[in-house]
Amino acid sequence: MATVTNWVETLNAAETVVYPFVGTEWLWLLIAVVFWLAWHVKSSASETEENEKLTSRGKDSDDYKSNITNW
Amino acid sequence: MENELSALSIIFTEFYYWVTVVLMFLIHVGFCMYEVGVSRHKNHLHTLMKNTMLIPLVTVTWFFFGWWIYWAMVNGPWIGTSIMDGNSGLQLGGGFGANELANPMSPIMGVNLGDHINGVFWAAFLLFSWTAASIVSGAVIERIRMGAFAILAIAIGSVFWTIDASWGWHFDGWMVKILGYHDAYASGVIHAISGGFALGILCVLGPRIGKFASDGTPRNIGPRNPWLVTVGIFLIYTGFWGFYAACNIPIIDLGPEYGLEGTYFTATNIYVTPTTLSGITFNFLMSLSGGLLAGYWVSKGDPFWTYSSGLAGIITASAGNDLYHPLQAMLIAMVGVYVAYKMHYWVERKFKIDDAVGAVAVHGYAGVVGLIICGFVLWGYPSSGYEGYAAINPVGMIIGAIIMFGLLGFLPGWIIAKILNGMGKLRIPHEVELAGLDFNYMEAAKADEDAVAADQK
Repeated sequence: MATVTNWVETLNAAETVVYPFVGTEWLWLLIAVVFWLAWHVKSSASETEENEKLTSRGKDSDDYKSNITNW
Repeated sequence: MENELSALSIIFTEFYYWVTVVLMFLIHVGFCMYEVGVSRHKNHLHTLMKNTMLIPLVTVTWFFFGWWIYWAMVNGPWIGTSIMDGNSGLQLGGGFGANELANPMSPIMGVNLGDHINGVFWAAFLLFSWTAASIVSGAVIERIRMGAFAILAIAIGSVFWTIDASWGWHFDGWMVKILGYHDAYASGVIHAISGGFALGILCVLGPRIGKFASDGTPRNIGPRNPWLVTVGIFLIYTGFWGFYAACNIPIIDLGPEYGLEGTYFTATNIYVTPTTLSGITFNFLMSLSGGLLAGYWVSKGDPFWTYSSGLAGIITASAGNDLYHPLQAMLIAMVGVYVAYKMHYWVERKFKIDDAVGAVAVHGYAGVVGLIICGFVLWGYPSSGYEGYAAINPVGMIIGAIIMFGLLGFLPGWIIAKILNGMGKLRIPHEVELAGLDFNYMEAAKADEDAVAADQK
C-alpha cells in the first residue's frame, strides 16, 4: 500500500516518511540480517570446497604460468 | 526548513557531505589498485575480490549496528557522563543506548522529508569504515581465507573502529572529556587502530611462503605492477582530501553552542571546535610534502616507500592538523615517516612479521606517533568548547594511543584471528598458496581461449 497517494495532502499534513510499508521496518531488517548471515555460511562453504579441489591436484608454484592467456 | 537562509544552509551541508562521500570512494578504488599492484599474478583476482567484498559487508553491518554503536557508546558505557541530555536534541536515553538517529528501524534511516543530514553523515562515516577494513586487507594478502577476512573486516569496520570513534571522535566522547584526547583527522581513530588490528592478525596468520629465508632473513616480495601501485596511491591521496572535508562540520553557529554573545558562524572539526577548510588545506598539502620528502630520504629513493610515506606523513599530522601551523605539519609528518619506516623493518626482522603493503607502519606506527606528538604540540588547548572537558595533554594522548593501537586494535585482531585459526578457517591451505588463489579462474580462462582459438582455425 502506498504511503503517499497525494503529494499535496502529504505535504500539508507535514508527513515526512514516504517510503512504502511504513511500520514494517523490523521485517525488512530481519530478512536482511538472515540473508547476511546465510551469505557468510554459504560463501565460506564454497571457499572450502574450492580450496579442497585445488589442494587435491597438487600444483606447483609455477604451474599457473601455463594458464596465462594471450588475449 | 524555516526560511531561505535556513534551507540554503541545510541543503549546502547535505550536498557538502554527499560530495565528500563521492570523493572518498576514490580511496577504495586506490586501495584496490594498490593491493592488486602489490600482489603476484596468480593472486590478482582473489586480492581484488577480497577488497571489493568488504564494501557490501561493511555497508550492511554499518546499517545494522555500526552507526548505532557510534551514538550509543560515547560514555563508555559507565565511564563518562553524556552531555546529550535532550536539550541539544540528542537524547540517548540515560546515557547508554542509541537514539532515533541510529536505530536501523527508525524512519529517519531512510528517505525522510524532514531530514537531510542523517544519510549523508551515515555514509561519510561508512566510508571511514571501509578505509579501516581496507587498511587491514592490504597487510594480509595472498594467504588469508576470504571467509576469515569477511569476519575481520566487519569486526574492524563496523565494530571496533566505531567504538573508538564513539569514545574519542565524538563531541560527547568520554576520552575527549576525561583524557583531553584530540584526533581531528583520525591519526588514531582510523589509522592507529587499523594498523594495530592488522598487526594482531599478522602475528597469528604468519608470513607468506618464502618471505623469510631459513636463517630468518627477510626477502622482498616487491610490488608486481608499479603503475597500479602509483595510480592507486594517488587516488588514495585524492580521496584523503574528501576525508579531511568529511571530518569537518561545514557551517555551524557556535554562538548558542558555547553560550557566546551573538552569532559565530564557522566550520568546525568533529569536536565542534573551530577550524577552517582553508587552514586544513595548508596542512594537508604540507604534511603530504613532508612525508614524501622524508620517505624519499630515508628509503634512499625507493618508490614504494616514498609513495607510502606521503600517506604516512598526512596520517602523522592528522591528529592536530586542525590547529597546526603548516610548517609544523610538515615537520611532524617527517618525524612520523622516519619512525614508521624504521619500525617496519625492525619488527619484520625481529618478529618475522610479513606486512605485505607496510600497512602497520604507514597507518599504525605513524598514527601512534602522530597522537603522541599532538599531545605535546597542542598541550593546553581545550579539547572542546563545552564546559568540563580536560585540556589536550601528552599523558591523555599517550593513553589514547594505547587504547587505539593496543586495546581496540591489536588485541581484538589477535583474539579473532586466534579463534579463526583454531577453527582452521584463517589461512588458506599450503598447496593453494603455492598454486595461487586464482589458479582455477586462470585455468578456465585459458581453456576458453584455447577453445575460441581452435574454432578460429
